[in-house]
Amino acid sequence: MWTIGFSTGALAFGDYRHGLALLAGTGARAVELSALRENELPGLMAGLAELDLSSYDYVSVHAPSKLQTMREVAVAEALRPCIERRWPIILHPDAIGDHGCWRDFGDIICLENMDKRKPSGRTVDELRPHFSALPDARLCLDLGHARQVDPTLGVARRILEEYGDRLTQIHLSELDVRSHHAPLSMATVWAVREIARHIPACPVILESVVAASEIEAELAIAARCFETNGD
Amino acid sequence: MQPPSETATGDPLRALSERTGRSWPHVEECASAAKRRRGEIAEQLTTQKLIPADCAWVTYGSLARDEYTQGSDIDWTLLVDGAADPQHLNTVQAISTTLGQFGKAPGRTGVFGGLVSSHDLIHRIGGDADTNQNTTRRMLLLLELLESREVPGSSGVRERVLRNILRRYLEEDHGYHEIHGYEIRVPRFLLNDIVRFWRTMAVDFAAKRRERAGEGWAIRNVKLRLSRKLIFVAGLAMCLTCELRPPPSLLAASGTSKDFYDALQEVLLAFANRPPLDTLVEFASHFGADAVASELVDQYDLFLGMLADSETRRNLEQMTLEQAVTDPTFNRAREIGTRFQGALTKLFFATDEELTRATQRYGVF
Repeated sequence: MWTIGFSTGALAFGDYRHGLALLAGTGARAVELSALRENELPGLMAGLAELDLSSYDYVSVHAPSKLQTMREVAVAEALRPCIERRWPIILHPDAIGDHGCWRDFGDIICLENMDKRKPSGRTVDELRPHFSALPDARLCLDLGHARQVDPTLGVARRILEEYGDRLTQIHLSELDVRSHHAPLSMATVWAVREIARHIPACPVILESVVAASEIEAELAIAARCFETNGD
Repeated sequence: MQPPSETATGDPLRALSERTGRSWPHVEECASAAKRRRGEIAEQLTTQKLIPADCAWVTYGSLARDEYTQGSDIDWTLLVDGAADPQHLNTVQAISTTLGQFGKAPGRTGVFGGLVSSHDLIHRIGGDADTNQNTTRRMLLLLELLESREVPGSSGVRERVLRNILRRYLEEDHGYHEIHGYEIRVPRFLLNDIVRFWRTMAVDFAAKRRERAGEGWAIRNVKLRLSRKLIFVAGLAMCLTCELRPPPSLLAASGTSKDFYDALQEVLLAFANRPPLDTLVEFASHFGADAVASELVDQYDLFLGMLADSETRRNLEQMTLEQAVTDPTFNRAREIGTRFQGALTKLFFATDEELTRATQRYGVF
């Protein structure tokens, strides 16, 4: 039984409280608090103490993906409360300018493989320098990104071979031609099942942009990705 | 010339019915059946999550044209406008299995029931690479195809592909439009392809008779005279409307290259989102030709009535050419086709002088 949940950013762009409200009462057992845009971070971190996340078996935080006004060191400092909570922080490799900012986080940091638009972090070879610089960092395997880079999921297999023992969570969605996160279809279910036996069980965070009425159906189809005995 | 009106809006068939007091029960019933069947299919495809990102399930033929009857094929393709993915084949196979419960599978030409890449539709217009299948898929996308809009994500894909195809047709006409200072004119490259498609269908009718030793000749003949001809005529009407009855948005954009193409693209896109019978009826209404429009719909209604009758349809499907010559059912269908042709001739050549001139100029030479 996989622990599956949603990113608040997928459900409510830029409003993690609304995302949590939409998720309340659903079958989601995991949640990723999104601060994908840097202006979301201060509000999220300030509100952590008030959040009731007791219904979730797993909680993570997504760090900002692009810094325009905040300095990287300030972002790292703002995220420090996650360390004592042992909440994994999902970090994009291309958002890292100074690996030194993140060394104190140890195995709290999860490096995420990137989509095809990004200049780095897409493959094992492109992830390697970041794992070398952050030797305790763990992995967030984004299957949507990996499948966009290589629909046969060969790239995902290689990432799992190299860094599978660091796997902490999975991101799952389909990506359209604009690299926007789309709802899952059976095509993804079939593709993921091909490699599901190579994936150590871990929490799955859905990034599919769906309406509130579609949350349960999306959780259900996500679960089918990891059924290894077929239909 | 009548005042220009906005194009491709409203319900022209209903408006004609209200103006003339006529009704067309088979047209209405087939349209309702098509909408119902598309809805059922969409529900299945949605529930089973069978449509991946950047793909659309699109339907052609009678199901798309709102002419669905009990014996109709379910003609469809999975239109892919994104990265190639081996899972698309599994998707097509799963859709085929799912649609098996709804009716006859697509015909044997291989045009439908599989994968179609937007790349071929957009880039291969004309030349050796533009195969018969590719031309057919592209033309039907423009002239008869509705997709089931209830399938999430689909409408964006189809519209994106349609916009790209239309842009190709318009920008390849660049010299023609530039020479004429971006005055509103018939989109000639597009119309030439529509005419080519119509002639190809007619030639293929003869080729199929030879390849299939006359099997299915009678039903194909009847369809060629009515539904295939309707597709062509709707395309001709779409193109002539641009010059003869341009909507205000197109008039406003005349004279400037970029705005002109944008406006023309929007007008043509609106046509591509409606059944061909609607296009033809509205076209006739632009010229005050309600009587001839009613005659066209009368004959089309009789044609759909024949196809909706399962015994009549089966007779036509099984009839050989030799049997057809003396068969009363076939001869009745032939008469309907002849009257339909007569009404079309009246509309395009004996209704409005300007329309006659445009038809001669663009449709013949």
